[in-house]
Amino acid sequence: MAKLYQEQYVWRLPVRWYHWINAITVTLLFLTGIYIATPIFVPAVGEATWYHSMAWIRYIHFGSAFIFIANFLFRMYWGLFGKDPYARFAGFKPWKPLWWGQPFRDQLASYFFLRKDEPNYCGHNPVAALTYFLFIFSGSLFMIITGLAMYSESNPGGFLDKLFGWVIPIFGGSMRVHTVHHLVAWAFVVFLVIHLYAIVRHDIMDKSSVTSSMITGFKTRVEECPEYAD
Amino acid sequence: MARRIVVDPIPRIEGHLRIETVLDENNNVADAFSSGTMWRGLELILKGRDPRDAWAFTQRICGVCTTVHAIASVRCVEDAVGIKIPENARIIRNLMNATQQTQDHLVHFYHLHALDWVDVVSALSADPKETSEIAQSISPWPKSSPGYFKDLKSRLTKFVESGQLGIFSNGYWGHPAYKLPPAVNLLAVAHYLEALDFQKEIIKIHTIFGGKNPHPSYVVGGVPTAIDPNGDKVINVERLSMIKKIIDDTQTFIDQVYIPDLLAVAKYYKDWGAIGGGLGNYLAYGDFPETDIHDPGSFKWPRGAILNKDLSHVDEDVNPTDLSQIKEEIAHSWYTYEGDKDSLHPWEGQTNPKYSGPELPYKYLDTDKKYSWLKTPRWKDNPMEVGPLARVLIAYVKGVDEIVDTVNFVLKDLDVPAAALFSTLGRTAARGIECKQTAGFMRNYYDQLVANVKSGDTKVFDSSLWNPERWPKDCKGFGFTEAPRGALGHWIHIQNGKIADYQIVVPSTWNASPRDSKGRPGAYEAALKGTPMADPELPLEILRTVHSFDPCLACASH
Amino acid sequence: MKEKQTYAEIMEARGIDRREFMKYCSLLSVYLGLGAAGLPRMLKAMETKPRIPVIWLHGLECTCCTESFIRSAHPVVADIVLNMISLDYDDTLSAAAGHQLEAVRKQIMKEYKGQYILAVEGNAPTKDNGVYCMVAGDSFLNLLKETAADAMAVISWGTCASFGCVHNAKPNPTGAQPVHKLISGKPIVNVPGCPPIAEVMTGTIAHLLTFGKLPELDRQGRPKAFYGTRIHDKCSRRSYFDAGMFVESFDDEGAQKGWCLYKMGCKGPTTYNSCSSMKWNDGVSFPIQSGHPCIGCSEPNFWDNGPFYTRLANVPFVGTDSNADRIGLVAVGAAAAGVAAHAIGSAIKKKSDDNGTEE
Ligand code: HEM
Ligand code: HEM
Ligand code: NFV
Ligand code: SF4
Ligand code: SF4
Ligand code: F3S
Ligand SMILES: [Mg+2]
Repeated sequence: MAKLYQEQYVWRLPVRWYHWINAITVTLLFLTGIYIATPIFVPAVGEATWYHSMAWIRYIHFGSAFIFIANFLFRMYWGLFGKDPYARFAGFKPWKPLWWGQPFRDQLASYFFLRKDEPNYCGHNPVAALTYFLFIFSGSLFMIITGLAMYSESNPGGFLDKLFGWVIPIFGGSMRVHTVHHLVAWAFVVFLVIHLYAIVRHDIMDKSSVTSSMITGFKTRVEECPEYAD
Repeated sequence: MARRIVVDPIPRIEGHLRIETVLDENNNVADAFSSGTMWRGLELILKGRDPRDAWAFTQRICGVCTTVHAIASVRCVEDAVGIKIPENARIIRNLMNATQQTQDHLVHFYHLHALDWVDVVSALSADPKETSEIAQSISPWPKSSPGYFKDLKSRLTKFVESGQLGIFSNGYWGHPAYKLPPAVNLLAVAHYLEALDFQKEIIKIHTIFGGKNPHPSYVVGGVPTAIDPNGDKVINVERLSMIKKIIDDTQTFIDQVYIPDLLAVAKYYKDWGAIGGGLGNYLAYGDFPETDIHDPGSFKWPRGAILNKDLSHVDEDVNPTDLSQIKEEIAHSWYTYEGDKDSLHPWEGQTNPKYSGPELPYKYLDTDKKYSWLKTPRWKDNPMEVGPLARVLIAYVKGVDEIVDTVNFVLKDLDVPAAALFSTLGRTAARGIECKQTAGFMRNYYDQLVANVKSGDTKVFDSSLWNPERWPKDCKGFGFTEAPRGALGHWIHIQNGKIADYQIVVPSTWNASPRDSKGRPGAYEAALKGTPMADPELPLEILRTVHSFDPCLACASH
Repeated sequence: MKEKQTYAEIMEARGIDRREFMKYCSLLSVYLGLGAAGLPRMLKAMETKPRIPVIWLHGLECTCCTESFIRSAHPVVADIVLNMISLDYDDTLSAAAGHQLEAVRKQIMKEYKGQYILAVEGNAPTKDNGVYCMVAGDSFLNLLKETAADAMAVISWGTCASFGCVHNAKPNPTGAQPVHKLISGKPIVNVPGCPPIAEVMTGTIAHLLTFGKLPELDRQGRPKAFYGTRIHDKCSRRSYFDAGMFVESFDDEGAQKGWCLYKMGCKGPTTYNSCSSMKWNDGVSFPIQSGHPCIGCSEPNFWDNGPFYTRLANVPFVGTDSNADRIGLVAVGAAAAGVAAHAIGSAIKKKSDDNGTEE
């Protein structure tokens, strides 16, 4: 059986920038976040004012957080208003039964080895889209809201407090917000494990060269891209 | 028909207590029933938690004796896993415990008990000059000028004339059982206010070591506050001198205000040396170890039991870890025991609440059946009274020097026989005697602490068994203390580093318990029998005897 | 009824001169966060208003809120109880007992309808008809509702009344509920803390007295003046936190030098209270200063956010106690295992596919 291979420009520069900024800030946020919860470096001698390890780690967390947020907002803009067919969210309509129809089931069946061939997509496949929605969109939003709520606590009555302070009583106190923020942080690691695996696997299984696509922008197209209903 | 008198709520105690009495034709109390009407379930809430946290939970059983549950709790965990605390920690805990006892007794005497004996309204007709003379004749306490009392009297008069009587509203003013002359009433009111101001000073010792009061901090394995005589952050010279000053002031207040007031008031109420005796069985676990908590011989308040008012003998065989000695019954308590057991040792104890009293609202409890949220503890199957009187009697019989001297002095001063100790008055006097004694301990502990630190020992915490992974997988422990109201015990069962079971038997559980399976009354119930009432509508006499125990019902059923 | 005394008259009667009275008022004013601007208003209120009747009820509680209250250093409690308010009903201090005491409550409710303050210490069990707390033969729940009906405002003392405290810690055996869940249609101020700081309690009352209304409250119904900032933000050990200098064990070198207690489980970063600014018992100390981590005693659910000596809270997870990191690691492990299994599956599939292609 012969297949048609064709290079296709899928990930435009803004998406690639978004992706790598996101990847870096999330990594930083996770590592600094875990450190904040369980700091290990304790200076043995000297005065408190000589050191700022905790302050710095938190500073990096908050710094990355604001880049992360800006990047996220940008991606939302690009997805909603950008003239970029592969980056738009238009096709993502999980509230419509049709969305869960054939393409989704085909992809899922394939991941569960229930289908022999591998469906091929130029943009995200619908299962990937769902994971991105759950982990990246919802996860990021959750981290941003809880994160900003905690961040606002240092300035009660301030701008951020007015915007996000309501979050704290919803969870039953500041401690609970820390706990859920911390729990959901791990979702990003879970995502990463699956994400990296899925990419490497696609490369091997259907030779769509997804790995390099996020750097070069080009994906290898194997068949016609099936469209799901708009 | 016999008259049934219900007093509910009982004020000037801690928690929710209901007393039902049956009067005979002469208006003497023929029978009495004591009911604790609140239960919170601390023993259940503790299950599955980290034993190192238990002190904070159990401490919230009571904010009045706000230190003793924490002490009993850390001790029971230490006992279970085998932690030996450093010498400084022993001293500091003793000092905090003594502080608690002293402060609690002072608050009890002036703010919870005094209004049973002192007629505030009668003070309005006092001659300040006479009050001043009395004050100066019984004590060198400086606040005793005629002007001081005159000023107080005019403030008091204005207060009463305002028509807003506040906490004094509807009190039993003018009741025939009030015996103090106006001048003494005025003196007592003055000291009510002074004591209210002073009690908050004593307790600062807790704040220094535990960060706050009520509910200072404790820690399993020692105490949380480090010592560095040269430092500026922890216990240092500044803090030590503050402690010393507080101890000085406390002793002065007790010697110059509390004890003289106690004796002055008691002289008018000697008849109460024959009322309110009750069980005549007394129990103390003992406390204030000079060496180790496992060495009862070193306790400054000794361990033991006295049965049937027998002042010739103390039963030394008090062992709360002996499964046969201490048991809790529920014959008249709103609980059930699995397997239909009558009584259980706390290590095998159960807490299964099951209300079976009358539907709410009710007029009377069904006292033939279950009628209280308190369980009924028994020692070697005997109902026992615990508290200052028990401790003082046991120390007296065992011949603890200072106690023998103080008790004899008080008996002589009041001109009453030793048998008068078995009474409402005796209980109130014993509390004062004990307060003086324990305040004396405070000074000892201060000296011990300073000597230790001087010798270079600043250790306050033993970290070797802090980590539960180093604990035995399955272990049991017993922790106790002599709380202000008497013998307190915590029994813990730890499995895999978590609390499997936790049972608490509290001084007020002993004293306020309902009848047992044999129908024998608890200490309050027994003591109330025979109390004469001048006017059954006005339960002043009931309050006197009940308050002489210093009830804490939140402690009693937890 | 006779002419009621104002606070100024009382002060005067007690031989306190005008200057001292002013000093006292300005101190209060500062405490309440009103600053110098609030002073004239406070003076006026103190000089003209009679004492507000207060009914103080006790539910499921430990009375430590009352105990804390009587430790107030400024104003001292005798001043409050005798001069500022008319504490007409309070189990802990009242002279009267039984139905004489209940009669006082009923009388105040009638005479001062809509004008008295209801102060509640503790909370109400709601399970089994409220039998876990009964007063005068009825449930505390009924007593609370009855007394709240005609109150001008309700003060919830302590974490018990404000959030439930130890009594609604898991498994909440009595169905204990905080006051604001049981009473509606009344202004309610939460004054949490187990117990609250004495001067926070008396300060809240002074505010009420001065302005005839509750102080400004935050989202959780607490006076902003006292619960506006976290312990952590005003903690004397904060510089050590920023430096990363932590106590690792009680009585270690860091403990002796007063380093930060974060790693001992300190809940100061998530706790709103005035401990690190006002301190306790006339400013002597507060838990952290005395070497113990904050357990978060003024926060909702603080008993179930433990254990107290670790930074991460216990999170129940498939029937065991776990924490965010352990659950996270398990989830990552599960994902990795899933991926590994899938990889093996894929390898097998690929092999058969490739074989098929070759054929
Ligand atoms: C070495 C690390 C990574 C590589 C090689 C990589 C590669 C890729 C590739 C090839 C895609 C396109 C997949 C597709 O066709 O659907 C992609 C998409 C994506 N990746 Fe990654 N990724 C990495 C790390 C991360 C990290 C750490 C995150 C964030 C937690 C992340 C989040 C995403 C998201 C959100 C998308 C969807 C992009 C969009 O639609 O905007 N990636 N990644
Ligand atoms: C993927 C994104 C993020 C991850 C993985 C992450 C991770 C974490 C973790 C693990 C903690 C420790 C929680 C604890 O146990 O106390 C933490 C704390 C925190 N994070 Fe994030 N975070 C993320 C995004 C954000 C964002 C967007 C903000 C917004 C400002 C933020 C603000 C905070 C704050 C304020 C804290 C508390 C710091 C402290 O208590 O000192 N985080 N984060
Ligand atoms: N009974 C009792 Fe306590 C004491 N003393 C505790 O053990 O008061 Ni609340
Ligand atoms: S809030 Fe805490 S201190 Fe106050 S009554 Fe409740 S348990 Fe006691
Ligand atoms: S001791 Fe607690 S409140 Fe103080 S700085 Fe450290 S973490 Fe914050
Ligand atoms: S435990 Fe409570 S007393 Fe203050 S320091 Fe923490 S809020
Ligand atoms: Mg018990």
